[in-house]
Amino acid sequence: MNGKTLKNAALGGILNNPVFVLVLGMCPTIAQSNNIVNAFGLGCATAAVLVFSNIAISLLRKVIPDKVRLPAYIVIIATFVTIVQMVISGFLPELYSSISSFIPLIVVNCIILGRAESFASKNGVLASAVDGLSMGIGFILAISLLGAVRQGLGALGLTLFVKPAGGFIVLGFVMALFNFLMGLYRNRRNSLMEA
Amino acid sequence: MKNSAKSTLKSVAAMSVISVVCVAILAFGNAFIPKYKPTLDLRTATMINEMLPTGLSSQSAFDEGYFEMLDLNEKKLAAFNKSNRAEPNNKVLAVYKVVKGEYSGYIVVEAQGQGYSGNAPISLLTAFDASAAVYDVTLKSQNENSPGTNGIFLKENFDRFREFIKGKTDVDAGSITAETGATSVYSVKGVANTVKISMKMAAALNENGGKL
Repeated sequence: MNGKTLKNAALGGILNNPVFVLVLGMCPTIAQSNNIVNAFGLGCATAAVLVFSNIAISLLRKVIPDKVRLPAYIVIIATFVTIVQMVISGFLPELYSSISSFIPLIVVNCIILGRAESFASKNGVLASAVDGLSMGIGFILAISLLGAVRQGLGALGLTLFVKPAGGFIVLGFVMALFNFLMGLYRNRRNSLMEA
Repeated sequence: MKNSAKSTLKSVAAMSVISVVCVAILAFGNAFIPKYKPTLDLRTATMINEMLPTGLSSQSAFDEGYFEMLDLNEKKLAAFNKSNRAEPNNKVLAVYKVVKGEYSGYIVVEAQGQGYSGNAPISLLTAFDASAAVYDVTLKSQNENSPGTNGIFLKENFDRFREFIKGKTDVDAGSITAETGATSVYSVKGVANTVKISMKMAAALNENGGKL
């Protein structure tokens, strides 16, 4: 097991945050980040699908022919999305009512297909699981942060930010701030390494 | 040609196996993951007891079986909801009946409707008398209130709504707004849709002797 790969996978959710750095999964991010409960719920659903699909695809990476890899990934991801949908509708009916129209869209969420194609199909099971977990947690944190900011601004009377147009504006500012802070962190780390 | 055919066969075989395994996983999940069903719990019984007092405490009324949940056919309920809903989240969840006491024979419909998009649906309990007219209504859950807004769920607005809806067999959002003065458009619409589908359920049960 390559320790560096594992370490990179573990930190990927922050250093290569799927929302703020890779800019993936924008549709659910904008649509369901107007409310922190919905944001957290959808984030957890996406993270669960990401972890399980990464594990499954990594397990089958040497078996799936290259010609049909995308349809195979979609079938596997759709299976886990359906299981997650059954669990949420059975145990959390109120949350399900709020986010039900976005759960099936997790199948075509670019984060999941992107990580399957770029990481899980090329790495071992443990690293893929860690990558899925890290990216999932990164997504949960990003969408929840946006949900909190938008809901907070809405509570202050700035209702524009609860609407989709305001969502884009908030996303842009939070993304800029995140990348600015990441830039500061990288510069500091590089200067420490040079010293 | 041979290699191409072999590679195609391999792809088809791999996809078939993956599909069969995924279907098996889904069938297993469908069989063992429980599906949500509303139940008559103490909290619901307390709300029913407040609308239709039994003279006993809610715990006693609940324990002594003053209220029952009607066993509605799931398929018929789903068909009813599909043909009567105003929007996808608008549906009847359960129907309860008072079987003892002064209000014996009255039914209480638990239904939900969508207020502002992205919020959990509004859930109301509406009590109906023997002629399927509204006797009372109470709020079970909502996530609509924003500070500073003149919403339908402000106490004074909701009390005016409860007085207004008594005896009615039909309702619309405009009349609720006019009577209560509430200005939260989508919340009022959600409440109107919820009570409206409850009224349709009460009428349907009344016509069919308590069955769908």
